[in-house]
Amino acid sequence: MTTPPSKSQIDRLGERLRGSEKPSEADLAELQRWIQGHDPVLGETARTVREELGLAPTSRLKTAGTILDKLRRQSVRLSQIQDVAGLRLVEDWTLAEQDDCAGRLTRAFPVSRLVDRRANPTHGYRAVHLIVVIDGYQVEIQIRTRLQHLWAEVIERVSDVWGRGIRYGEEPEDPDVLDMNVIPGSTRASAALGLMDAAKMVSSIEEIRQQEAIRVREGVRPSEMQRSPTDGIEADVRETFEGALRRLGGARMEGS
Amino acid sequence: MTYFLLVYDRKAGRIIDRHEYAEKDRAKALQERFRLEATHRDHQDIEIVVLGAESEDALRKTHGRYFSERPQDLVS
Repeated sequence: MTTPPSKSQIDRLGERLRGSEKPSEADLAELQRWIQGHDPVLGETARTVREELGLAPTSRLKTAGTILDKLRRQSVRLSQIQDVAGLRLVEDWTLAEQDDCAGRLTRAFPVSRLVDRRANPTHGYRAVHLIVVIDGYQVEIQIRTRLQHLWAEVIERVSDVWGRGIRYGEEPEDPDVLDMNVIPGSTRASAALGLMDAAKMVSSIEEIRQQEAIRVREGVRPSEMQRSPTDGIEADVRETFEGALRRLGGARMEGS
Repeated sequence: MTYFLLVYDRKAGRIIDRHEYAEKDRAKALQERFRLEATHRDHQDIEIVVLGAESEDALRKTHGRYFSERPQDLVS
């Protein structure tokens, strides 16, 4: 396994990449080597998660383009980007089951730190992340419930068309564009706001379902519980997602 | 694990090229990704990614965005 470059060397590279509209071939090659350096550790981490914990992660190394985008949009040093190597786990978990998975992973990887983005969402994004450190390289394990993941995927898909800045809390490109297929007066900007509201609704749904799961464990029969509002709320959330996504395939009409 | 190299057009929302590599060819997948990144460097809307998964079904569960025929299919 190669020894990673020093933090200061990586950060100097990051500053050169950030400051250049067209990075040099030498700098891009150095970035590529640094990305590639994470690969053995990523593979080792994935094997541990699969073989020792019986989970089914998917893996990826971050693209150079996404790293450059992050450097230019945020005041972050290159060495601080902790998801160059990533694993993702998505299951239909309750919040407690998500905690349980995070606990098992923490015990499997003693040199790690937990980042609970459910408590402190990043521009609406909620999940639990475990940052594993092996041989100087970091691997970010994303632990997502089904609904947290769906929200994240919708935002990614919308940002593919309306501008990657949405993922960083920026407005969509052309925020006042109306869509011929939706209610008049409904713009990209309002759709994006709707998605942020949907993030809060997902959080509420999960909290309510967690409380219901606790009551069932305590012996309360589901038939004895008051009818849960979460199915209706989830239907509203899905409608918000579908509404935003349908616009991506729709024709454009300039707003007034 | 299988390694799925995807060339994805973000604006069009579709995969325009894809290759699969066995575990033993993981390094080849990464080299090919780097080669394609250099080829498409001036195309901001082309994303080239190598994703490792037990199967395509497993990959669709965690990275469904790449595989939706219509954007709204992500929700169904």
